[in-house]
Amino acid sequence: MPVCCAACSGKAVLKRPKTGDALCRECFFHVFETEIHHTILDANLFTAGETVAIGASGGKDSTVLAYVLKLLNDKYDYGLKLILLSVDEGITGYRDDSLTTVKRNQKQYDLPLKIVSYEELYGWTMDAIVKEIGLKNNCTFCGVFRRQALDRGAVLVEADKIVTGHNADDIAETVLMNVLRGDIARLRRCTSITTGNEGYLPRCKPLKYTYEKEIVMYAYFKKLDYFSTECIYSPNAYRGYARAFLKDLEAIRSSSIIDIIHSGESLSIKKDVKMPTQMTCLQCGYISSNKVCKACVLLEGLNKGLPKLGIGKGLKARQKLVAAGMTLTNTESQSTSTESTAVLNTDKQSLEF
Amino acid sequence: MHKRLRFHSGIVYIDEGAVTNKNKEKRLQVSDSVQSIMRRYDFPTHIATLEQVFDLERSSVDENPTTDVGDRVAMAMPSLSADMGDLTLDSVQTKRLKYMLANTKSVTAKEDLVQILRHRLLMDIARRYGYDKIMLGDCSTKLSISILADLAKGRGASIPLDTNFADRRYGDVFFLRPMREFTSKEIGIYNHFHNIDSVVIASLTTKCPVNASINRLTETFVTGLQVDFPSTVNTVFRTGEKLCVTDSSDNSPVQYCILCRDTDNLPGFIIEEARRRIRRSQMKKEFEGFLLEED
Repeated sequence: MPVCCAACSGKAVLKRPKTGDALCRECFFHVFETEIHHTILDANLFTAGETVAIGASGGKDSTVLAYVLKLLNDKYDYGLKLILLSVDEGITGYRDDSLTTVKRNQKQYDLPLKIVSYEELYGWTMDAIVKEIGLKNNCTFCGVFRRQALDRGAVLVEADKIVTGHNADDIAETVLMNVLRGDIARLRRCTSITTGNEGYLPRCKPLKYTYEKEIVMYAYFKKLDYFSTECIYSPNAYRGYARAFLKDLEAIRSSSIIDIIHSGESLSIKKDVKMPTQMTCLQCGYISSNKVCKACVLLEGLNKGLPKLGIGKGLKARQKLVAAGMTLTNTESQSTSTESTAVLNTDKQSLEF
Repeated sequence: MHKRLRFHSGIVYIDEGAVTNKNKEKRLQVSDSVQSIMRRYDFPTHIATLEQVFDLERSSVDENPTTDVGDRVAMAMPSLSADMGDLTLDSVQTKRLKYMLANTKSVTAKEDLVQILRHRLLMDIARRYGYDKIMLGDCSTKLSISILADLAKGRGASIPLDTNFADRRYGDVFFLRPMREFTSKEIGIYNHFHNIDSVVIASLTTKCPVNASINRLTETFVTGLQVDFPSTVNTVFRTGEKLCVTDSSDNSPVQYCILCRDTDNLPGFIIEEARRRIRRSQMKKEFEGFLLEED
């Protein structure tokens, strides 16, 4: 006997990973899109007339995000101007291929595209950085630089907001990671839907409550084309444990992912716990939790041939840099962006250890 | 030299044999071995079975009578037993407990239910015998597991109450966790050198696969990670210490869920849905047996 769709009594083709409901294709599209629409409405993410930069990597999350945002923008008349924004880290065999996907998406969705590259911003591609630093701490550089690069790209296209494709699994995983690492400051802000809106470009995550499995399902049934290869530079091993744990939890109780996000949202932190204070970087003038921001320390290390400068004992490195009299000038460092470690960073490759 | 305890203590053992479907002989056998250990300490002992939780008056747990009995502390030993001969082990209450568990679908929910019932019964015993504090043997390993398991079950808001030193949720009687700074390994070593015996009692997930329940999976995850990264338990435990109960914005007293004593401020639509389901299950009960198809 065919299973009936729980919503329209048509023929069900899938079981929703989030709720277990059997649904037909059309009803799945409807609930998937409507949930994102309600997330946007409930959190007041957008105002009509805004320019919104979509962080597009060519991966499944950002591809689905771009598609759904365009669809919702037309359907519910948000009045947004959407722009695809990609960062070219300069990783041969990975980013060049994924950027081809983004370019194809640009044509399919008829959205403007802007690509900013590490090379033009910092004078270093990730390939060159890996040659210097090896395969151990390279993700630190990539994560710190990507955040800045997205911000600067968004400024170039005169965007009011950046949206990223972080999904519910990513956020739940970050909650777990922050507990496992004891990072109370990030734990507090990692579940908020919008971050970094103190005078800087706000970033939001419309897919915050969307399950990764459903994103893949949506892309599959909509026949969206995306790029799915892991970055060729090794992924973070410790994050792998958290990810595996999350997948096991999801298998036992499918609501676990949303439950973890709910837990993260309802945590309160004791008032007497010391939090990192936010200040501005002496070098590039942007928001930082230290005198010199992480990006400046990393870049200084690269340019001076001391790539390990910003890795590990960060405090000592920064003190050394400040003590050395801050030889770098603003023009040399080219840094005009926000500090990455000060704001949320859920990107899979950008959480340094 | 041991310092003299400045309070009067007693030991409570709750037999949970009904949870794992143990027969009367087995339950008595376990209780005998626990009893022999309990007798070595110079404390008054109390024995109860988990099903006795149904004997207690609703009011004794839900209300907060302000009694001023002496400074007495009950030490709960959740995996120990004693004189069970005079307790009935096949009573109506036993059947009721088994029925309740059989109707709780997931193993995770069963475990959580048993924990809730256990705490209610401890609270009842403490009030009945005039104890005003209940000490639990939770160690940092167990607490870091429960921090992560609470997170995974959406109970983030009650992590501070479930893991801090004192849990004052019930008003007049506190739960205390004096062993919380030690890891299970430290306790094991201490017991070994002092020849302190313990009894291993099968739980709901004994001999079950790792993914039998969220609690079991989290335990495996934490203990496994602890082997490769020995600071895991400590880091998670310290993270939990930095959390506190949410202040209600309008200074009204914190509201607790009457079943699990969770502090979570649930959104209105969830409370409405819970009410709707309770209403529907009451309706269903009224025409029990006349429903041809389960909906």
